[in-house]
Amino acid sequence: MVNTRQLEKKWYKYKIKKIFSVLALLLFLILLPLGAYYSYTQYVEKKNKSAFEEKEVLKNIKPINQVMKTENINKIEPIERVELPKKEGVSLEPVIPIIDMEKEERKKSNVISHKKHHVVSRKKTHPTSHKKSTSKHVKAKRSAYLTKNELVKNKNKLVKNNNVLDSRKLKKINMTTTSVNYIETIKKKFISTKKPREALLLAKAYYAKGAYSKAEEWALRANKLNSTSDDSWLLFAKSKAKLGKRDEALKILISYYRKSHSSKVKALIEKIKAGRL
Amino acid sequence: MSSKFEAIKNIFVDTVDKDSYVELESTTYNYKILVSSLDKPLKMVLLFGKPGTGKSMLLNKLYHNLKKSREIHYFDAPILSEKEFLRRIYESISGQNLPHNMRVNFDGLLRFCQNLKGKREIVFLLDECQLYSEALMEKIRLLSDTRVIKFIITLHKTENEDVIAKEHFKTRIWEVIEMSNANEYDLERYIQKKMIKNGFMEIANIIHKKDVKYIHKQTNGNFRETNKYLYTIFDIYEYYERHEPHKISDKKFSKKILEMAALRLGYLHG
Repeated sequence: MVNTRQLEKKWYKYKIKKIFSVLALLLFLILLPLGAYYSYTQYVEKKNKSAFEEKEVLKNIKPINQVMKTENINKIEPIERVELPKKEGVSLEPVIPIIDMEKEERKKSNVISHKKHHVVSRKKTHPTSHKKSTSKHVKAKRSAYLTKNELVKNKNKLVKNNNVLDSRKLKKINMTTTSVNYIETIKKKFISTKKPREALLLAKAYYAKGAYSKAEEWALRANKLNSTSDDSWLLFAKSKAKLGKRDEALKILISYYRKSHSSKVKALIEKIKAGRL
Repeated sequence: MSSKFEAIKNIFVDTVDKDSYVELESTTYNYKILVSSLDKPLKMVLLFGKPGTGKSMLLNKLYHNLKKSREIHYFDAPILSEKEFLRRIYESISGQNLPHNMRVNFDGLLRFCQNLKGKREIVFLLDECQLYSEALMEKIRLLSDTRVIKFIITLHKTENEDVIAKEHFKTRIWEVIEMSNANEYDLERYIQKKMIKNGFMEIANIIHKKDVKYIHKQTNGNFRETNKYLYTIFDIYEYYERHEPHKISDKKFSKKILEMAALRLGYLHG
């Protein structure tokens, strides 16, 4: 006769195991579709969210004039310190420009001495005068001085060079005339198309010409037509800064940077802060 | 105090005797083929199948049914020694005991058999032939060539491939009867007939098809395994009948006991 009591205990264990394995299987079969459904919904949600966020970012970028209204830039006193959102490895702290005064002085004196030298060499091609002008800055070797004949040749060369320079000047005049034509052409084009591209090109042209108030005006127009374009913001801010409205320019750029996180904008902020524009 | 379950379990003790034989559709069919093959001029008949498929039972049944009408001899256990095998053949044919310290000369036995041609037809039933040596099988072949002695041999299915492959067997085995495990229907008949035959009709009636299906699943319909399984089941029943009778019912065959027996025999792993 088998040990039935022990066998019965073994049977109970077997039964419990069997029930658990059946339950585990059932649970697995229930959870499997649930899990699949959950992960699918999560995926869809994530996808929708990212698409929505992208849209929102683009929506939130308001044109400059609105930014100026909401931020009340005109009333704000000059900024002492602007807190920018911190990003890893990126610093928007103001950079203090360091200028080597000695170097600057040396440069200036060099330029002056060169100018003097040129003037002297045009009027008089005397070796002693040349020697005087250079002896202050450069310790030249004696063998490097020009002979009388060479100086005569140089004089001829200088005359020729002056003629070349004159011809260049003429060319420059021609270029300015073409740039005026360019602005007119683009203006006409803008009137007919009303596209932000043309407005931006005009702003760039005016900026290059040094007409910063006009550049600001056209950048604003371009921005009204397309507020998501980095270039219109940058050009507007640069023009402002050039017109001496540094704080306004910074305020606008910072508010735009908060939304766009554009590296170009960040670089310009730093440049304006450093006074390197 | 005697238990009815003790009596039932003893029905399933694995023995080869004529009373244990249960007539089923498959066994009856095989039996008829076997009997008809004896009337044909065949030298050898091969009965093969897996262990526990009823080969020995069929040979035993054949022997008991025909021993009065034919000259038939049954070697239920394999005789591994050649000397002993020849002595048994000699004693069966001659009806005389071999004197002590004497041995049978095989050539003399062959000549004796050849002289009996047309006069006698002797049938030898050899069980578990896979255990016989090749030399002995060769002698069996030579004796069957005399057409006086006819051999009905049983082989395990796993072994037969090797044996049948040999040339001397290929040409001599004329009839092959394959025995296989019972299907669910046959197994149900087997269990019920066995119990009813021994007067346990009420217990036979509580074993339903689903119980037989479960038994068949565990034993694959092998008769030897089924006997062992049912023996264990009724052994557990006996224990509960004696010690905790409230745990068993006369009206329903216990699934718990079926599983306990399966655990006991290693069909299930706890």
